Amino acid sequence: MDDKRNNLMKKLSIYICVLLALFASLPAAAAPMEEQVVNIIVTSQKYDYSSPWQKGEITRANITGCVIDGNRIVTSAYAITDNVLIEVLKKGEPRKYSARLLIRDYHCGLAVLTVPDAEFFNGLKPVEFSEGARLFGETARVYKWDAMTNLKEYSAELNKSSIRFYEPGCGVLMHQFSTVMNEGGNGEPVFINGKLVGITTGLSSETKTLYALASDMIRRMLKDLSSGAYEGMPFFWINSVDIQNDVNLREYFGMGSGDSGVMATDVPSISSGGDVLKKNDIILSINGTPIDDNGMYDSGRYGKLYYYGLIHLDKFVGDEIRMKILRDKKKIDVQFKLKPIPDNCCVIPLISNDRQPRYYIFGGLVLQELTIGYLESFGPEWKKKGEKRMLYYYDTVKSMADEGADKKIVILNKVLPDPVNKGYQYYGNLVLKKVNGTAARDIAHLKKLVDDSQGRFVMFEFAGNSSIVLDKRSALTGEKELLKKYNISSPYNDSDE
Amino acid sequence: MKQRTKIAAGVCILILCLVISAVSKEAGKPDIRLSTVKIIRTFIAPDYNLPWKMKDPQSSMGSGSIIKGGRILTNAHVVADSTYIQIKKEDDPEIYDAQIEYIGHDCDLALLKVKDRRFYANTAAIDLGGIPELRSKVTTYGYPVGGSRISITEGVISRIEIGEYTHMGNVSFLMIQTDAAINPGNSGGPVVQNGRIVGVAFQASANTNNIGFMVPVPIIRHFLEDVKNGRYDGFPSLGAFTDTLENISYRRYLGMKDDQSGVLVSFVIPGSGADAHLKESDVILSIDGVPIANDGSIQFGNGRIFYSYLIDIKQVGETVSLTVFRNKARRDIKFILKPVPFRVSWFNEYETLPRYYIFGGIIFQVLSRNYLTTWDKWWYNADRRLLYYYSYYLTDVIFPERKEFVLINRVLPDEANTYISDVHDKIVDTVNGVKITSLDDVVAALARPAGGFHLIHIDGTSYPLILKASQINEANIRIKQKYDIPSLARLK
Repeated sequence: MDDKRNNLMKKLSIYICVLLALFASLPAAAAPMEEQVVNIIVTSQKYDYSSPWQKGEITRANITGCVIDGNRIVTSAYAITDNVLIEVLKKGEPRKYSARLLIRDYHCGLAVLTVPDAEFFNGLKPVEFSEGARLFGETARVYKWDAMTNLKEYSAELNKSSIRFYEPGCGVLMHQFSTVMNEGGNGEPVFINGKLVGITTGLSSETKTLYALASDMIRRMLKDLSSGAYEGMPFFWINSVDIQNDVNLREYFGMGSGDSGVMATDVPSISSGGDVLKKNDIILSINGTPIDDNGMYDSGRYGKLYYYGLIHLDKFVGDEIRMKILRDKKKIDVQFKLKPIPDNCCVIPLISNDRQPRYYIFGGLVLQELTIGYLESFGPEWKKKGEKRMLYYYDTVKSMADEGADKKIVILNKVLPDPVNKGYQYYGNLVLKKVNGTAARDIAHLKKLVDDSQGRFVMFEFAGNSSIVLDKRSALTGEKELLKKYNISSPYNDSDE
Repeated sequence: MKQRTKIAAGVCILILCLVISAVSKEAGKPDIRLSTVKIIRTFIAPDYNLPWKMKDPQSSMGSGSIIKGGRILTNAHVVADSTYIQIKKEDDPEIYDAQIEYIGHDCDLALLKVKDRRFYANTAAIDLGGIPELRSKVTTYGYPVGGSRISITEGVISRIEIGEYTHMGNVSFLMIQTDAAINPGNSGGPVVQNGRIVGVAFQASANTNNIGFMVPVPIIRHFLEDVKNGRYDGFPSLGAFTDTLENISYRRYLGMKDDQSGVLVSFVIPGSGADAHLKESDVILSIDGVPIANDGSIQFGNGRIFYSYLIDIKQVGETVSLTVFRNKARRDIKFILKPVPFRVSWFNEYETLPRYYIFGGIIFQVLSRNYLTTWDKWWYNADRRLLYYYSYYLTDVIFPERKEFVLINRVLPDEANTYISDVHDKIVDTVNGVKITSLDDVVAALARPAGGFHLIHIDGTSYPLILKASQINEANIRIKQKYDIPSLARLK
């Protein structure tokens, strides 16, 4: 009996000690959340891809960000797309401060802001980043400014951490939480034990899943920034397939029983390693870390992660990547330097946010470059409802990458009805092939082809074999009137801004 | 007392009937009512998803009319894919068995015959009329939903135009629109004016009011003419796509005078009648002497219709004469009209079973509209790469060397293919190093494995699908048994 009681006492005292220790280690030093989490009001105006000469609807959104050192604020890049004005508020105070964008990188999904009026940061403290132990099973807290005055706290359970692809060719480390939140996914910081583990970038209200970019991505970005000019994520843009356990495939490609990896199936030359890797190379390891047959590696803290993590999580442009690959049944070592994401790389730009559509209006024909933004103008189900040929180009953009960086797909969006284009007024959603017999590489080239054409007529040929001929002089004479009628300020935009 | 009145009434009705029939006989017009029949079809269609099996049998009802030669004229869609056709007359309690004599899916017409001579008692053949005037009255006879007896509705002719015949789809012929009610079950029934058939009721416009369509007499006559040789060949095709030339700059660019008109040839279909005769950028000024306007229309009665009518009234194998404008000069050309050649079928097909080949659990089939329409709301939901090929394989010259587009429908999971069992809806490029141009190529190539493996390359990736040759025989036997597949191949 006594023994038992003694045991119980012993256990209790141990518990108390542990509890005390826990209290001691709790973020006593950490500042209250409202000193770390700020409210951001974003006014945005998207471009109107269907009428590319004008901007569309104006929206105002209330999002969240958190303070990092150097009087900066970090939030989700997707939450501030197409912004015209960014204002920040703190601690529920009514004063709005204008913020300035330092960096916005859609490839890693993050934006860093600063506030010119340094007074804003008085009384604010930078967040601490989470480090070290595994996060699984921990309860997270999400903070969101509601109605500008009320900092709400939600709890969330970490389901998994994985590499996801928000933008083509860019693997980002993303945490997925289950949550009770109905609104969010717009830059709210997520904390575990008072330390930042991520910044939210999306919320599925159907599955109640909150997506957050891991704080590792923020640290990576800050490190990149601190080295001077921001270079962004490295460009690794290949297609690959997991070998799985496919015994036939393994035997056919001569993989040993201990070998595992992923097979490269498409390697555009503009990708990092594009000059080194070949189709059907099996990547066995990257910088000494073995890749398993599901394409995963053991990351330690986050468990198994997809192999892109080895290239995108803590590597920078200019770093060297060593790979062991199996090619023609022989193991060889290859190495290459990581290249930056090219500004201009493929027939459909990787990202069209914040860029005015490049267009050219001639004789009422609205010609523009095909962008993701244009495809999205077919509606939320654009991958089903978009024009099939354009979707095909979207799907095969990688295999068209080697046609040259300045090659774009030029389309006829629509025809603005006018006497000069009588008979063509139902033409639209066509892919331009040639102008006066010459392939148009992009909008600027198209404009030049039309400007320089000497003959009386300008001939436009489209995929699907339809064609349009306009009388150049009539088109030019009527241009001013046409633009006025349709309230168009400029007949073209070929700038990259 | 009561008894007497009843008898009297009976006599009266009898007299009335006699009078009516006497009157119609006098005018030489048969009683349309007695010659309009109800057609009950049982049909089964193959399942293109699991190509060895059929879908559940279903029944439907339609109408028909008795025409010359003891034939029953109806719509193809009333009897398509049928396993059993029964016919009932309005004044006869008997149900008669009928057989299809000819069926034309493009024009949605069919001719049936009943062997039992008793069927024809008390009926008279209805003659074909002509093209009715706009706003003139017509009467439709048939057995639409809402009851089981004959239903007669009246209306006027509201429009005469070329439009899509949706039974086969992607074909357009002359059709006449009426506001007489046309409902499910009316299909195949006669639309009558002055005691003659001016059309066969066949489709209605969804989500609109009082827009029903009939197959007009020129199309019916074309069908009857076609089958005279004992075979239905279908409608010919010009063999080229054309664009209108409503813009004067385009006509001037081509060197046409401002008073010349026609349509521009934008694409010549390889293997068609026009192949090697028409050229892209030709302008078709006239067909068989009939001038074509810049909007593609020709004079027709008091109005205008699309020029394709001039081709539609000809038979496959007939010669067509065109005047074209080529290289700034007029020239006359002639060629023999053929049916539309296709490598990927754009049409709903009936009475055919899907061809397939199952090897190691991989189901090989060919791309067709019937395959794509297995998706609900197929135009949005079907695999979008397949939709692109389907839509543009001709003008974008996709895989021109292929006779057909062989695809992998899906892989029936088995231990021999477990790592490729997720593959579906991919076009097959090569099998064991052989370029695939037809389903037969697949069969031949799979007979010759390379180095103990079968290697299949699919469109869009360099990743090969690999099967071990030594495992296939056993796998095939296992798959046939487990999935209850009567035959692993149907090659014709």
